[in-house]
Amino acid sequence: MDVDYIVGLENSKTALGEVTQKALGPVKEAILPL
Amino acid sequence: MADKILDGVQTKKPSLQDFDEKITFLTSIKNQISEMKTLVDIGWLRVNATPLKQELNVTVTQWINTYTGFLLSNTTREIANIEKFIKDVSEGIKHIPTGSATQKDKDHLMNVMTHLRDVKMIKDRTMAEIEPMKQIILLLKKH
Repeated sequence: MDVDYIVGLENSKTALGEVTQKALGPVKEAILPL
Repeated sequence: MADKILDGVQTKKPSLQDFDEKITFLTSIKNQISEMKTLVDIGWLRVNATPLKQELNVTVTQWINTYTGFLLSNTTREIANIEKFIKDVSEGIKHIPTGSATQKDKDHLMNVMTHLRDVKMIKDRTMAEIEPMKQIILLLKKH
């Protein structure tokens, strides 16, 4: 296979972890008082 | 909410082991076909099996491609959905609302809250799906 899907999946896993951390961390904290 | 990740993805499917066994079986059939003699003498009759071997080879190859193609398209679709979800959420939470006085502020707040809800609902299930998807890719590389 030309595209390395394993690397793609690892990148997606990392990106999902980061976006989750941001969303449920600082973003959630910031909008709670609103 | 899981629809966002599973949009267009077939979830009811045979196990990966079933796919592996079937593709392995078909590959062995393909090898058997290629090892068959092309010219066979039956008494005074000489049979040229080349057209038959070619047809059988095409049919078996099509079936192998059907199985591997399904796994590949289903998995790449799910990967694409995950990537789109990450992009949508990243964009959606880029600007954090600072108030809720105007309708525009409220809409923005609701939008961000929707993304937070989606992330909360989808994250664990999606993380759990990554390892099985890796196994599918490894199986495809094997074949």
